[in-house]
Amino acid sequence: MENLLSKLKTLKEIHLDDEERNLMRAHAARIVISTPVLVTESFFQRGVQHGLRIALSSMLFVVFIGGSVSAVANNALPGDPLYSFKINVNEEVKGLFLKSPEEKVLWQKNRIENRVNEIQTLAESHSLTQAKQQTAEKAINDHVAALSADLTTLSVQAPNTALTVTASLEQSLQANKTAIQNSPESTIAADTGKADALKTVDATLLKVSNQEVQIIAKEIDNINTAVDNVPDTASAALATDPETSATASTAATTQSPATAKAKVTPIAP
Amino acid sequence: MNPDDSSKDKEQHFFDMVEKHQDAIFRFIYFRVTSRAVALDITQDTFTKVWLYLASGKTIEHDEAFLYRTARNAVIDYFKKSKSASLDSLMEAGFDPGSDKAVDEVFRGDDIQTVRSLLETLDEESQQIIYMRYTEEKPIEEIANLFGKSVNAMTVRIHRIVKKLRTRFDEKEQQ
Repeated sequence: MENLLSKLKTLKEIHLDDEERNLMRAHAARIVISTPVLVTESFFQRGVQHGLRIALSSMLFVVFIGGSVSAVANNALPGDPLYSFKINVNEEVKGLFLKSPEEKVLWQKNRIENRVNEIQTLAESHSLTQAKQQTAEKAINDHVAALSADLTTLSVQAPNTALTVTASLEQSLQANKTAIQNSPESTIAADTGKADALKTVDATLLKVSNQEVQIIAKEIDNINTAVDNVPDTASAALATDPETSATASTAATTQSPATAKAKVTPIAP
Repeated sequence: MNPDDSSKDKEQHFFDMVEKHQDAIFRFIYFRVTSRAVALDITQDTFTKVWLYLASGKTIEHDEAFLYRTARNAVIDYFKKSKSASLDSLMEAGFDPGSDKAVDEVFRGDDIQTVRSLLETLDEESQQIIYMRYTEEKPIEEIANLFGKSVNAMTVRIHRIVKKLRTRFDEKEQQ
């Protein structure tokens, strides 16, 4: 039986001819083209991609909703539901991107101007109530405090810029005050909007003026310190130098620096 | 790994399998169906199934074992389908008994005819085991692996099949 079975190995001679082989290759190529490899992702990759999709859609949702709320809040006035969003989110976010003291001071100045403009708008439309006024005043107080801190920094680096900002703010507030004064009186007897608005603007003006005075006083202090530091020999040299004698007074050359300092006194607020 | 690279690798792997094993798979199928055209058709079907498996993202560890297993199933499917098939339907499928190509000369030898007639009395799996052992001359370990059996079990199985064939051969001789 083993001999008979061993005859089976002669079947090994059977093979495809060239034509059949080409047919097989063509068939293989055809099925590969018609059925491309399915790209499979690992569970981890799928999980990460799924997470990313959720995060992205959530972010888009937040951006869309947040953007819409932010856009609507930009026009909010004191007393509106989105007013605090406008002050605490919209404006604060802008502030986060400011780096230099100049930019921060200008940003605070604009905020104060905006608050006063809001009060003016409410007063002109005869809708300024005590509550609304208090809201705006509180915001102005916060802004002035922040402006004061920023001005302190700026006045060291660039006192002229600090003074320019306060002067500009003062001017703007004066314009608001004039506009409110010139606005028509309310026909409603109970409406005290105009008077309240003027009160708020005046209070703000006073705070800004004080701020301005503080900067000037500080500047004078700086000048006095500089004069203190001038050595006596320098004063003597100044006195004997015929070139400078035309501008320097005789009294100044004979007086000590302490006497000279006494002549430069700060302006009272 | 880049998915494109993986895809190219799989394609190359498949083409290599076709080049390397097409003759053996064709022979294996041809031995069972004895029609060259039908064998060619089933061989193509076998490679199609293998590619679909690879393209679905799965991987094949042992190419040869996988190919023989797929070919075995394809042959079984063929017999299930054509159990009641007439000669006409086989001819429609490409079987041409008169053609030189239809049945190779080696199949026509007396000894081969005798063995084939004896093998016809066995079940499908036993026929394939005998083919692997005596035609392809594969070691028992490999056959055991192809059929998912232990080496000992396959050794015993082959021994029993040969014993059965001997008994049937003796019975035939006595007749």
